[in-house]
Amino acid sequence: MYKKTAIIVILLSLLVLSSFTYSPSYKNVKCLIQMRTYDGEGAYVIVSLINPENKYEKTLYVNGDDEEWYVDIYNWWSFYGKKRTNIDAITGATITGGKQSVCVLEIDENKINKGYKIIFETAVEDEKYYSKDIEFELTSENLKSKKVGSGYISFIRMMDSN
Amino acid sequence: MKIRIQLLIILLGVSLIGNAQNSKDREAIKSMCGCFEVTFNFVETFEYSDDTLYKPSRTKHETALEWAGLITDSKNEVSIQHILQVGNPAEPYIVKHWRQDWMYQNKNFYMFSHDNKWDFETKSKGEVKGQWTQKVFQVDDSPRYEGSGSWVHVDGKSYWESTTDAPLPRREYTKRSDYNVTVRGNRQEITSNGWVHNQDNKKLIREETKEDIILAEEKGYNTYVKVADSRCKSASDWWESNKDKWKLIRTKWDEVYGRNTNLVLNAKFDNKPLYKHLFSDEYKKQENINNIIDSFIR
Repeated sequence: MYKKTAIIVILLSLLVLSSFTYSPSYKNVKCLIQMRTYDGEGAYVIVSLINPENKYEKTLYVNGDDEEWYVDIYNWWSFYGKKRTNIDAITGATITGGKQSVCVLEIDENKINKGYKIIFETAVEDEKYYSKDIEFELTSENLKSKKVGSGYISFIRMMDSN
Repeated sequence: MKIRIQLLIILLGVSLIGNAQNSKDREAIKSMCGCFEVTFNFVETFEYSDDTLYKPSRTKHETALEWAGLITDSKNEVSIQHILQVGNPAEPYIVKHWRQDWMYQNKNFYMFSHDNKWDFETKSKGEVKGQWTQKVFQVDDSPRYEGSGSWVHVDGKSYWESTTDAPLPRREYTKRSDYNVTVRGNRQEITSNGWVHNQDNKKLIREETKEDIILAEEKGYNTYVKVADSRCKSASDWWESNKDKWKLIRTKWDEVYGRNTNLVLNAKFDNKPLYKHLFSDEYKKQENINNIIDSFIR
């Protein structure tokens, strides 16, 4: 009887513990970015995950590797500049007008269809800054869709193969 | 009658001592003019963050050649413009750098608050008696920080000290956004071969209606070693060709500072910071200069 109770207690504890331990399950989603034609330097394009409280949660990709100019991407800088997490693995070059680029976004599957958003911020030296060139809900539907930009981005195409 | 003469002698003595001190101070200030080999050294010392992921700034060591030219020299005011000369000495690149104005017994201050805001404050005659205010300006002659203190000439040393709030320097604001005010502990000391800018700074988080938080401290040690003026010829020539334009810019800023009210500046206008507008050849006339500076004032 004592042994049985002990097993039940252990099992219950494990159940409680597992409900508190969050384990992300990542999948890679390709994203094609097509820039519109414009004059000027290459654009910085920052892709971020925004939580349901409308706050930055994670940097997903950074197109633009000269840190000197990160301060000009105001909203993202106020988040990223505080901790300066290592973004080497998710950083590429700026994208010039008319060109396209493909990046891979690491998406936590547990956050799909849970009120999260993805935003694309863009900036060009001495030109306008777009805090939401593109913004969309992180839903399974949107991860397979095309979105039209309002700034330097002509459109993006999310290519979730799953 | 006898008492009157004695009083007159005492007053004359006090005035002579005051004049001698003022003249020694001016001599010390003006010895910061000339051509200098400069080293800029900064290291973060104490950290107070509870965040286990806190990242301090990297230690910085840099060298440069800098020319400092006298642009105002009167009994109660000295102004020095610093110009950087960088790159290949045969074809150097010239960058207009900071400016320091020194004002004797100045009572009007623009004290940095935070986030591009400067508060206008006045001090009483007694508070600034015998003191010099150092007013430091950005490359576009907009305000940076100001502080008042006495020049001290003792034991063969001449130095001036002051602690004041300042915006983050470029080396910091392009690297991190976790604090927004630098409390600068400045000590400028004249040495046998130039001068030393010694700093004990605090990195502060300041938000409206909240108490300041000290995030970390920093040591700055910048040395200025005097070298032959001929080495800075490119910089001094550049200033000679551009000084008239910058006089117009200072005239506009003098009008703005003369408003004696709090000042808030926009970071950009037409997507560019002020220095980019003013450094371009588009701004040579007083009217254009006035308009562009006004467009940065909130």
